[in-house]
Amino acid sequence: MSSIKIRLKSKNGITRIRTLIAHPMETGRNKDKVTGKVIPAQFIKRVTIEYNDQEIASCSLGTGISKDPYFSFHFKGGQPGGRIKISWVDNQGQTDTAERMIK
Amino acid sequence: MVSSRRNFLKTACSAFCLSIVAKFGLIFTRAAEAAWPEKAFHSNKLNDVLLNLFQQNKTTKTKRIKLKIPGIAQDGAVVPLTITSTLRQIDRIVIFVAQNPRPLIADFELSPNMEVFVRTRIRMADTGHVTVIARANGKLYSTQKQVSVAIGGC
Repeated sequence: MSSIKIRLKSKNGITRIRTLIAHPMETGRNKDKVTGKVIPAQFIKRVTIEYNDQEIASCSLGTGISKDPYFSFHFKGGQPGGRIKISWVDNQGQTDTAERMIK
Repeated sequence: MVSSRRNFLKTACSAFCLSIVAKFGLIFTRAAEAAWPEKAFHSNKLNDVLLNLFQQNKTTKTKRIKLKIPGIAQDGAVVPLTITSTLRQIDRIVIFVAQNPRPLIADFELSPNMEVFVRTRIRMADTGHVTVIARANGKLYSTQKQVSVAIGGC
């Protein structure tokens, strides 16, 4: 199961991209309720959005983004059959990618 | 003699492969590190953040950037916000919350074929201002909104 969900909706030449990434986004300041130990920081640093392998948007993130990050963008010039690819990398080097076709 | 040559070849080959894998790993993480502006994310002042990201700190207040965010946030852990603008040629959008332990929230880079529209959910530690800075045509524009936070979420 990919950690990334992508929803695309085209209307009047604009593709609405919505994405939800399952990620803890730990700040490194929270303590484990059971053990009392500090949970190490784990947060997404970079998210990139590509259309047919060309980067159309990217973001650098800090710990100020909520758990399970949600993003929405509006893209001009998406053709039916075009592919939207979203990938992320976090501070621990973990990464994931997902792709979806514009209808 | 023959077996030692075999052995040598084996070890040499695996060492070579390992070094290649290690190099690729390094290059990959370095690329990610390079793209992530660490200094900006670790500074507490808007001034420093702007200098770090844009090499300039002069911002013009504008009403042409619209920041849609609830005036009262029940839960500081999840505050939804939407940024739109009628300004042209915006290629960067930065979200900054001064009262957070790490004030720089996010830095969005938009290519010309993106509409100026960003929606996400942020964390807020306390009541205060949310500042959005956008770069249009090389100049910085900013807008601000006060949000009351019931329970801090940082």
